[in-house]
Amino acid sequence: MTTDAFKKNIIPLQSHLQILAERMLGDATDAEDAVQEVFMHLWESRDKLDKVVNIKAYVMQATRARCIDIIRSKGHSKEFASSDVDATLNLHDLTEEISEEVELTERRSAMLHSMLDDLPEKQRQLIRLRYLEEKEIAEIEKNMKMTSSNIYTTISRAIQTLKTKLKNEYAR
Amino acid sequence: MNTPDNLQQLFDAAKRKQKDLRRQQKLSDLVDQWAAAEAASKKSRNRRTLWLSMGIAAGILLMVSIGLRALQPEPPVNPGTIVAKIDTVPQNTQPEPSITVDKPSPTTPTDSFHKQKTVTKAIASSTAERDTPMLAEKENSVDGVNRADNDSIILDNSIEQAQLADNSVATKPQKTVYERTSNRLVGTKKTSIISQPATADSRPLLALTNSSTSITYELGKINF
Repeated sequence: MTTDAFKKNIIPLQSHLQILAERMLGDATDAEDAVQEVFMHLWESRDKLDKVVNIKAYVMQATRARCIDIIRSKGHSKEFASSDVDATLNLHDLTEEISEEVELTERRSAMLHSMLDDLPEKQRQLIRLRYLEEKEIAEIEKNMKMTSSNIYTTISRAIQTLKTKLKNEYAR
Repeated sequence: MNTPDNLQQLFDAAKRKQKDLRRQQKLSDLVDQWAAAEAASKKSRNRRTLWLSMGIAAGILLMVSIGLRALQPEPPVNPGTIVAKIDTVPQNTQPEPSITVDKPSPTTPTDSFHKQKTVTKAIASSTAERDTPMLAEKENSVDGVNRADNDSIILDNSIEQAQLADNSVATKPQKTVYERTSNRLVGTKKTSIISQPATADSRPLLALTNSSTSITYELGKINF
């Protein structure tokens, strides 16, 4: 498998692996490290990936095995390890569940970006900074050269517009 | 500032998607780094393999060359060369250091040593004596007796010479007593000639370098 094929076919599965690892390890940072290690392993054995029929199931299995190793090496409690590992026994169903979750996330994200595109420029920028990039009000004041009261007022108007749009969207 | 649950879900999903995109971009950069490192390692390994192969090939060639040289038979002896060592010369037949050298004979040498008797001129032990008119010329010597006018040289023991293949003349050293009479000389003079230095037209017998050993060996075979 070439580098471009690896980027195109394997790396997008990171969302699935991240969800699985977070469920098993209970920590987003540990899950991110585990997924990175899995990708390194996949890169080293990328020549074998061409022979794999179900790539998604293969990488999910690899991620599960890696998470089990991490759970054992870190000495997690027996209850945590047994419950979370047992929950991943039916990996096929779990993969389907995670795939649906990933698709739902993408749909919601796309919907929000579509709604944001209809907002005025100032409101859109403030919503992005405040809710997507999670900036503090003081930092937004400095970047946007606005007072805090103006920021709060503008964001409130933007939220009201989004709620109306969302209500209309669900009303369809 | 609260957002409705549905709107909050949208924001959560958008944030998650944004994080996933950043992680995927990070993984893509890592893949590029791994690919670059792998290419560099492969290039270095190929270069190392190339040098190792060249070294092995050179070693094999060197060993083959040495082996072939060891298996190669000794070069054949030139038929015109007589190879012998001076150590093989019997001590009892080795000539004495003092040798009388004379002009080589014009006769054609044979395969073996051409042994001939000739009468040499009465050689004085010094050049001054040679200048005297009493000395007989070699060309006039016959059968060991000098027939020159007014010269009467008697050789008790005629000098035996052996002409070698290279036209050098080896003469058995021996004490020769001359008795000569001359109109100008009074009385009888007995001269004991031990040796004669090599003249300009004669080749020194033992002055040869490469062929000296063979000559010496052959000298040992001479039966005077």
